[in-house]
Amino acid sequence: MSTALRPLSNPGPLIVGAIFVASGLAFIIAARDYASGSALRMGPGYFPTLIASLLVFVGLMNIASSFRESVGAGVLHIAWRPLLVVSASVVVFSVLIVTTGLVPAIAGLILVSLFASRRPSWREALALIAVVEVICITIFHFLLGLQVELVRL
Amino acid sequence: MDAFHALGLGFQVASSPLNLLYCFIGVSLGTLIGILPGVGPLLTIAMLIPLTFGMPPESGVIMLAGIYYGASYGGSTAAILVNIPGEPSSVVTCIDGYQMARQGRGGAALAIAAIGSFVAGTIGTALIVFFAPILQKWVINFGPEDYATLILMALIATATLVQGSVLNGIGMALLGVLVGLVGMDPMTGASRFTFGSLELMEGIDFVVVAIGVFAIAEIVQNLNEAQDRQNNVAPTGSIWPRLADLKASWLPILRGTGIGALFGILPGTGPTISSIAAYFFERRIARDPSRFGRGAIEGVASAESANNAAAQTAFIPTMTMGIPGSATMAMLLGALMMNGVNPGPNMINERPELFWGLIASMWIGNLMLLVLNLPLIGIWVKILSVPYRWLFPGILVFSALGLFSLNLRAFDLYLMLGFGVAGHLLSRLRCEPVPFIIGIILGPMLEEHFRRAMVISHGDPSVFIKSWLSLLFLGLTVAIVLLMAPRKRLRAEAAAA
Repeated sequence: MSTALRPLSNPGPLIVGAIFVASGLAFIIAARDYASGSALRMGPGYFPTLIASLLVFVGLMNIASSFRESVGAGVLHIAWRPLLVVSASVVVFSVLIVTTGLVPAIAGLILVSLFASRRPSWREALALIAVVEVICITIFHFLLGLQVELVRL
Repeated sequence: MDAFHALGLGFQVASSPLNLLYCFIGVSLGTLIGILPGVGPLLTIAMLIPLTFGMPPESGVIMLAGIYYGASYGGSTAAILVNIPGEPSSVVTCIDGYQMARQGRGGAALAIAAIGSFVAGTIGTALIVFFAPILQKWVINFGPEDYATLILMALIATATLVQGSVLNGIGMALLGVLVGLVGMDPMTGASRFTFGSLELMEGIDFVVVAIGVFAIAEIVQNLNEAQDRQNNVAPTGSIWPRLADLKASWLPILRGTGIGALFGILPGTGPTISSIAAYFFERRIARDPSRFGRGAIEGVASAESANNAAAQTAFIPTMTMGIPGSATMAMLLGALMMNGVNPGPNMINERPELFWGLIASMWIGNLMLLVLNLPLIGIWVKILSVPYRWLFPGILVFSALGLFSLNLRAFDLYLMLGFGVAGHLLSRLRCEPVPFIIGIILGPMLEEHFRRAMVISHGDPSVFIKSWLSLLFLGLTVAIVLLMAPRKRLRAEAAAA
């Protein structure tokens, strides 16, 4: 065991620990506004504070474990491109469904999601839009009677 | 009501034309997504929960359950014919199943897998009929302190047994409990963690989180991996197993069923672990272990029976105690809660048609799968060639639209996206979403019983160690953590080395 500071071989437990500690503290601070009461007459803040304190404790143990000699499997890379494309397509859908209606929202989501692949094919996209529109409109509009206009102008 | 009358009521409910239709839709869809790698039962159930809203709860849960056990049938088809486990529970089926297919005996492997699954499903159903009422009668006399510690044990056991470190699992479970508490406090009416948001007053809909982590995060993950591979489909051959195959398989089927049934009841272990355990058990006791890996039919028979038996018996703790042992069970329970059913030991008494209807439908569904799967094998195999880039936009649209249909507000969609993004980032840090989801379901129940116990004991926390049952559950919880933590560290170090 070396006592000297050395670079972490794996930042994973440290980051996870920090996230747990921060979330736990956030819940504890937010719960201070609610009457925590006593153990006898528990207020709405009692149980959340208890659980959040446990979370802080688990987070601290995580942080402590990151300074051990060997720590398990490392951090994985974030899938930036799929993450951005999927997020953007959901945002486009959410905006369009309240402003322009169901049909443009579905088309918009699918168009954006195409960029997950590096070489989007437009022919495929049109076919895909047609199929998904028909299926979703049949199920949600006609079978379930969803109260959303198909196209709002 | 004795079990046979109850089962009669169940078959009456399950064989109504509407419920037969939902069961059929469920198992067909389950087979379909079981075959498709990258589309699993969790995602499908999350996607379809909004559609069950407004259905009678028994119809909804019959369909969702069909997806769950149907997926394990489909998973075996992909494993045997293309050497791709459509579901994780079919990983070991690949080993001998694909070898059999390469020897031109794929049909026999599929048939044995289907027969084994059916036998396991039938025995599993019988076990539920027998054990569920016993367990329910036992649990219903639990004091709130016993019930609170039982929930805690289930939560920690699941968190400990998932992939990744024990600390990460427990942390995610606690985080889930906290998120589950957002909204109005049921006891005092005070709003908690809503920050003045009216949308959050009713709490965070379980389905918002489920779709976020099981659809959004899952799709991101799948897109990240190369999905468009060329699948080499092995020839099916005759689907009729030889007499020698049946002779070699019947004992492994029964042993696999036994192992699966046991693992299914325990929290945190499900079809995947049980199929692996059954396979290696079968290999260990075999007279000639070297045959395994070269197309031993016993390997297929035991693994496929085990995963289906586990899929069935997992319903026992879920339906009798309201405590889900796996993410899928948490999803089914969440769907029931959204439809106004209170989970817990009273469910069997309050909604006998729901519980027994579900049980009966599972047997009917298994029968459908047996009849449906083998003749349709050609269609199922074609489905394997659908590339993922055509599938995921449809899944996204369906998920988003389903969620939107619940409250007609874009807020839910943004919240779902937030959970999806957080889910992906946390999964990169090796924090699994499964304990988080179970925490959300169990959090409010845990709080309710904890508070009740403390009120009854006049605020004395020693109530949790004065009841011997509660003490036992606490002891088991500690034992599970202490047992698993060092083992996992060793395994992680071995993997890192």
